[in-house]
Amino acid sequence: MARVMPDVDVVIVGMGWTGAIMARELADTGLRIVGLERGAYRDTIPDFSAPNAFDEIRWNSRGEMFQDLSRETVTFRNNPSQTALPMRRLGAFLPGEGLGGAGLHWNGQHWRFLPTDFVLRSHNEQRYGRNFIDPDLTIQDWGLTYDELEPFYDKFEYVCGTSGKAGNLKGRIQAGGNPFEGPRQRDYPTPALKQGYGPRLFAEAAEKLGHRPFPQPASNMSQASYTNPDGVQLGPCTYCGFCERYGCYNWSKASPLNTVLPVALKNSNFELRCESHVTRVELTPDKKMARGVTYIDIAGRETFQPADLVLLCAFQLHNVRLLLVSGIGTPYDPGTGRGQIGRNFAYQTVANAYPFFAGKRMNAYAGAGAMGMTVDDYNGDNFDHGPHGFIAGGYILATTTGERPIQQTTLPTGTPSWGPGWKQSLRDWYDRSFTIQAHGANMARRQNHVDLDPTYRDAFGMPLARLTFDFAGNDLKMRSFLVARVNEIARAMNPSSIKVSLPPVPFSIVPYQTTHITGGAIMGASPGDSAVNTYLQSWDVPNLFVHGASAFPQNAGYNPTNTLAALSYRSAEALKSRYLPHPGQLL
Amino acid sequence: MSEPIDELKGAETITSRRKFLLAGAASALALEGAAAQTAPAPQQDKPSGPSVQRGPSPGPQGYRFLNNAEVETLTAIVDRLIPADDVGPGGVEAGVLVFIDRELSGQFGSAARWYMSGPWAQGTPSQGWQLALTPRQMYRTSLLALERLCIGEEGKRFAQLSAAQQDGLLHQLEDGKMDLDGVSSADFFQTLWQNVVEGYLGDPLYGGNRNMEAWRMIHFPGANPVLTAAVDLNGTLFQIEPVAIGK
Repeated sequence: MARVMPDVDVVIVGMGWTGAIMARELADTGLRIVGLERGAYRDTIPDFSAPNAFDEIRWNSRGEMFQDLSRETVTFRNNPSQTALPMRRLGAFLPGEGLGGAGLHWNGQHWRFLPTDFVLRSHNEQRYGRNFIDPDLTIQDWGLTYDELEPFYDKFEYVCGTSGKAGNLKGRIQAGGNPFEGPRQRDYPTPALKQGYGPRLFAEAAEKLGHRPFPQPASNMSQASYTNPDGVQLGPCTYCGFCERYGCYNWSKASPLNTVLPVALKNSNFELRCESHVTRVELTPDKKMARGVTYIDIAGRETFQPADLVLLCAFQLHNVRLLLVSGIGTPYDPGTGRGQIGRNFAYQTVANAYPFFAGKRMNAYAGAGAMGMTVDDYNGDNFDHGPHGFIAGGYILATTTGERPIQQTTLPTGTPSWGPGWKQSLRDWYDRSFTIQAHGANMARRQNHVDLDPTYRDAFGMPLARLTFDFAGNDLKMRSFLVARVNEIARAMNPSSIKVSLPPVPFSIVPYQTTHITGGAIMGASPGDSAVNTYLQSWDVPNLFVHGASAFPQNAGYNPTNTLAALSYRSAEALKSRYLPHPGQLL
Repeated sequence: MSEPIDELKGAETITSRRKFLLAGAASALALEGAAAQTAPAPQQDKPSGPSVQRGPSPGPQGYRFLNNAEVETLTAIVDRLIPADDVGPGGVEAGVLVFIDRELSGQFGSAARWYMSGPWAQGTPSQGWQLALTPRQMYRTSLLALERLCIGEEGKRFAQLSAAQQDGLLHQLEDGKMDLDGVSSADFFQTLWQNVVEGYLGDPLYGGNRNMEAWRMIHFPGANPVLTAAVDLNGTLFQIEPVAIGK
């Protein structure tokens, strides 16, 4: 018999970026709010103090900030004819666990999606014709436009103190910024980061080739200090090189811990409960309304938390799994194409190249997670796809994020895999190169989806999510095109050699690619084509909202954090102004 | 794409020489000039029981997981994977064995954060690691199987074989050509090599990378929090003394 907690107005499942944003936005309504986080409580001090923040064994090799797979993982297969097997060790993507979620171990790459990304199908059909899009692709429009989201992008950038250079101010193209971006109402809150030698070499070469390089938007603090609109102060980035996979020691990389959570926690009507693992959403017998959630606390006690409003703010896979195990909506069937829950899972299509420079030191260990110079000429629909036979694209980024030696050492082609030759190459070539990455979109396709595994279960006896995924033909054509562009720029830098690294095809769960997994509870204009509306409200259960990248209909060629945060801010505004006064369907 | 610089060609020469040796023309003489020359004398000439360990002391507590035989074999293996020479510290001298012992006796060794529930199946390469053994079990099983194989085929323990024979066996392990009592040798080698690199390049806090010698060799500044000045350099070396969390 589960323990029953006192009734509250709102329960939030997951205390990463979206959960923390919702706690911050709703706390000043005076409503009773409980935030449930499956992992541990943590804060900059003491958890990420120097020097222990700079520990590659603990945070990278042993992955202490990542999801503990012994409790919960996902099963995986490339296609529906295979038997899925558990992801037993972390690899291709790294979900977070603990207060702040993956928002603690991100790099701070703070992108807006392009206006055309939100109208992907209709735009491409209009420009290239219906038959141009591979019929295998189940891509669709988002149901909202860039202009509707712009104020919320702006809000999140000012909360994080994002550094960068505007490329489009109210429709006027600005020199030195991204000329392809959608119009923004004002410039970034802080100037662009310093750029290391590698990114500067890249920018010179790209410019010579006629591209328009610009500094990557970065939530790594570029100035001595910054106080955000909530009065929270961020510290200066010291280019220590420990961003992605690490907690920031200096309050410089924006995370829920140094932006929205301290504000939410000032309110006595917000209660945070860590080590609380939610196992399902409880529904009324007619399945039309949520009653609250059941979770397992640190002592193993099953606990029911009744609530009038349930916000699922867990990582993409967990949101989708909670919908499936709770019997919300109709599970997607790739055979018939019916059902919305689990549909349109997408990832990201990346490729890396490493130019090596004999006799030069990159000092690439002096980096920041989002330091880098970017070329956006081949992203989205910024170029004519007509001759190429695919849609979408990606940005090309030259970056030095830290060159931490265990994870990030890349040695030239021909280096022996061990022995004296390996050591000599390590000595001679460590820090003689940097990464040029093609960071590409990923198109939803019919077979790719998430459902429940028939065999494997988590530590609490619940079925694991089962992921069926492989790259679409469109993705691979796009990747080849982007790699050719990367090589052109790399060659223009006259390196001693270039090493190209392509993730395996078919998609493999083994090598790290990106943590940007999306979809499965996608947003759209109607219940016939989506799981949630554009305010992230479930079409099936109106007092349930599903936040995060699970709402992306397919993935664009950018990092997802700014977009998923903006969607949450937009949802929060609608909740406060319309839903709370009159609960019910917003659309 | 232009040619790599001369140092790399040197490295390739060693690889080619290895391939030559593996092709069946093994000769201790041929290897002399490559790697073995500066390595401290290994124990291959001493046929008696597991011998005295080299490298840093594991501390007053001794080894926590590894037994004497495993220490002997791993010392010989790590001596081949990262030999001591004038390029930089050897893996054994850097404390890689102490690192591996500490990791195996802790959470990593018990696969504490891996999903370890059955049923177990082989799967496709895309589906990744599907081995029911913890790293502790895998090291113990694989090292014992390797010893038995060496004794069965050569009448000697791994540590007693010539450097060329040891390299040949390590290449076979790496290529997955051996079955180590149910463990694919490629799985074992991959884990071992990853742990060797971790012990060599990780913070001295964990028992490896003694005196930060490996960091000094590559000019990695370690746990230095403020590197702002290095960002502005144009291809020249930033002079900075490395800092470690541990001693």
